Amino acid sequence: MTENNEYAVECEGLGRVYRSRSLLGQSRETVALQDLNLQIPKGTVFGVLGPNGAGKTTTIRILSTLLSATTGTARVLGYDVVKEGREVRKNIGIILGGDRGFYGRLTGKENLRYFAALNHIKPRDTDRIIDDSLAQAGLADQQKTLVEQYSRGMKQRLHVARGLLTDPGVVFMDEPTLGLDPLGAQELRQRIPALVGQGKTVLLTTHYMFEADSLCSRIAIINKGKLVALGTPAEIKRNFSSIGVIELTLNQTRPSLQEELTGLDGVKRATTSADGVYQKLTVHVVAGADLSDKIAEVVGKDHIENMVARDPTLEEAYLEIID
Amino acid sequence: MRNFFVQAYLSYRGLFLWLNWTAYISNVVLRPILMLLMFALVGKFAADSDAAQAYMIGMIGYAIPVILLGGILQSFVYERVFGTISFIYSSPGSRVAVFFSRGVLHFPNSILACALSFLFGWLVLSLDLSTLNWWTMIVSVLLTAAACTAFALFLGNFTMMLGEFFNLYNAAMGLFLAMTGVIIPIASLPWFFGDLANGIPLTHGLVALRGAFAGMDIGAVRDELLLEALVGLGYAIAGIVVYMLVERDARARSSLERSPA
Ligand SMILES: Nc1ncnc2c1ncn2[C@@H]1O[C@H](COP(=O)(O)OP(=O)(O)OP(=O)(O)O)[C@@H](O)[C@H]1O
Ligand SMILES: [Mg+2]
Repeated sequence: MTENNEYAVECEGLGRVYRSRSLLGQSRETVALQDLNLQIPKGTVFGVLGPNGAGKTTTIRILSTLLSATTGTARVLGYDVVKEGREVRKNIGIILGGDRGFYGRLTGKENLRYFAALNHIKPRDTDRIIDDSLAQAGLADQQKTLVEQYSRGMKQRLHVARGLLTDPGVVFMDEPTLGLDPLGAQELRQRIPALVGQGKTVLLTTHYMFEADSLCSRIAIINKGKLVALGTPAEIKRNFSSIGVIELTLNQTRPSLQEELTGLDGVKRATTSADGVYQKLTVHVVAGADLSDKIAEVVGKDHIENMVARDPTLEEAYLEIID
Repeated sequence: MRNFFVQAYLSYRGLFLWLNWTAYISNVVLRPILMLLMFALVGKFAADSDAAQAYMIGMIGYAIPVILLGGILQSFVYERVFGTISFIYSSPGSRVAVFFSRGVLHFPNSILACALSFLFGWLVLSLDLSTLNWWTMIVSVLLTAAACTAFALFLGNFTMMLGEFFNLYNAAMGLFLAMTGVIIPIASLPWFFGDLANGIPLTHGLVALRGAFAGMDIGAVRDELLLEALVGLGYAIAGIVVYMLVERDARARSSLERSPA
């Protein structure tokens, strides 16, 4: 253990290169993660966002000791993921999701029983813990069904149940709501603050921006293996995106409008969409630039029903940062 | 301890895909009996009833690795195919327990296959039991099965890395058939194969089993039993060491995370 105990997760210069060999024997290298530095305080929800292939799953696999880093170090609850791997594994839960990871020939309940035994859960507590987690995951009715007959979402629910089975202090969730129905996804989202309330730390990846915005106290955005933004959702929106958003409701529009607006100095993007009988026009401008008057002029004051300037949403900020 | 048996039972059911009526009957019952029948007849027609007796004893022993290797090697492959290996690697569970739990319930299967061969030989093929020492036979079979279990677990590591078990399984079964004295006496093996046979389970267990049919008591075959146990112990230790090395390698190369298929 290190002296510093306030962080659940710390990474220093973390990097990973995958080497693969083609059929002809040529070796190829993929830099999946590069020089990642992170500190996640205990008892918080931390979100990792980024495009497909950005290195999110790679990060989770390194932190959960499934993969060794090629550079740098990482600690979970103060334990080094390489040198004290076993201690790390005792304290974490992982939800990787997907179709694999279970014994299809066994029922959902039997699968959990297996992993309970593997994780040294006391035999006399096993039944209670398994029944609880099946109920929480909404699988009580399917507990006696073979996992090979589960639907995708049912498997995802079982992934969640297994990840939380051992009551771990740190939980890694890789796209936990992927494939869940709206109610299931909402139930899981509501469970996360409750987990944090019990003092747990959650690190989650997601492609749903509203999910990250509403759940996470801090967010990291990675792109092509590199950290490109880090902060609270509000900080990400204001400081990292370098855009402001002006939203207009128009009673009339013309085809050339988008082009005319993007021609203006300081306008980065303009999009229109239908909004009832009106047209909604969203204009992304360089942060801090006051372009309201100019935009109103181009659009034509008579056509404007309403006009507001606001901060970008997390999604807008994300798209800007990744761009 | 209870958790160990839960793991043994559930991993057996979860990973042994021959656990359905057709596959089970053909592999545990029919295959050993047909092999026995074939070699009993080969012995009888090509040589004499002494040869038939010798071949039958060999086949009774051979029934042990046939089913053990088939069951255990596939368990290791499917652990990877199903992707459960990742959740084993991310758990604090004892690797020694995981590793050995994969063999526990295949052990009785092999005893069953062996016992059925014995019964069939006795009831149908006039296997001569007049001088049989039962205790020596029982001890030889149990010990051989234990040694073969260890060997199968050891090889399981490699099938997991290869992501496929049939090739290695067939090669290993050929090895057992040719090199452990099942049909061909060890002494007549060419080149250094005779020495190699000493390091394969079943070789010494089979000598003890032949002793049992010749009426020897356990004391008389003690050395062979001891050697068989030693060979098994060697593979058990090598097996768990390799298992842990494979885990380390999988972390470094990310090699077991994807399904091989
Ligand atoms: N086992 C592997 N062997 C080789 N390359 C890999 C392996 N796993 C991942 N990669 C590569 O590493 C990079 C990062 O992958 P990773 O799975 O971490 O992305 P991700 O951020 O989780 O993406 P997604 O949003 O699609 O899940 C990608 O370029 C991917 O192709
Ligand atoms: Mg991913």
